[in-house]
Amino acid sequence: MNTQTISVNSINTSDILSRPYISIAREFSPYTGARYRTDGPFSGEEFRENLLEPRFLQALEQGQKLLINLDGTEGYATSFLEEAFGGLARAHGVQQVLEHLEFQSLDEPLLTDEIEKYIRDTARRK
Amino acid sequence: MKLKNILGILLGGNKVWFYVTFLAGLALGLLIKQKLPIKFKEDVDIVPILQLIVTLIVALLITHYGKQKADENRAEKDLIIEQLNDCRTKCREVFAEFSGCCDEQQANAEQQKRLKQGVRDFSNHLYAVRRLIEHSGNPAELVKQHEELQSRYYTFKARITDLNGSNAFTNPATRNSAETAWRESDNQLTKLIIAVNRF
Repeated sequence: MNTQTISVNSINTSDILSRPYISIAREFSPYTGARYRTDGPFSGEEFRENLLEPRFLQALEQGQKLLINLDGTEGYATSFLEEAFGGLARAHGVQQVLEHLEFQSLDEPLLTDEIEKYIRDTARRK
Repeated sequence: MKLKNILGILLGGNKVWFYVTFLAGLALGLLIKQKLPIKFKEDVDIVPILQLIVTLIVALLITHYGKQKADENRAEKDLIIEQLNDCRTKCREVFAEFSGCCDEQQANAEQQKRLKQGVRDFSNHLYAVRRLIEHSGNPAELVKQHEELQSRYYTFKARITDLNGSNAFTNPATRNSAETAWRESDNQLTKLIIAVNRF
């Protein structure tokens, strides 16, 4: 069968079907919160523990990159991003996280740079 | 008619003064011709005339293409500066909204939404500036200044979006630290605009 793929922001739809994938807006919430659970609902800590880390470990097992779609939300607080992705880097190492995460953001392309900065910053703080 | 010659530039593009100066020059030339014993050689050599014509053509071509290139550069700079001014406006709007929330010591859902949207718009203007700098061939000074601006933006965003504990609206220091971050972003925007104009 001839399958047709559509490229979105240099990522094919066939990739989304075959790889570990998270859409934050659809699977977590379009209204993301702050850093810790104690700060309120949909925090970075909650996202990391419930969704990001399990899928990341799944991607590691499969030897693939976890694709994270950042679109469709109202926006992200710095603390949410730092706790989710910086926290993942603190637990699993900067290099491993950078190698196994890939981001898709059409709404705010600079977010990818920002998250990468928070991941790298965890190494500097250690 | 645009006065794009030297005289036009010297007179600041003033049409009346251009014609007055032109006619005065013509009258002065006729007067000098009548009063001074100036004579032209009657047998003219073709080689110097051809040289003169070739020189004039080359000068015109250089002026034409040089001006075209300069116009293109100016258009590129104007585009980057326009985006930077949009960044500045957005940054100011976000801080004004934030300052209003500080006055009320809280932010309702609608205000929080506007703050996040404003920060996102700022980010997207910054991204547009980066793309334009890439299209201009990534001049080192502009790349450096943009990286600085991006760093200031991260600080500003953190001050605006992280509102828990010591950063709560009820804390008077919250507005001060956000204002400092806003002013630093604004200063960096000015530095980048100057760098773009120099480039």
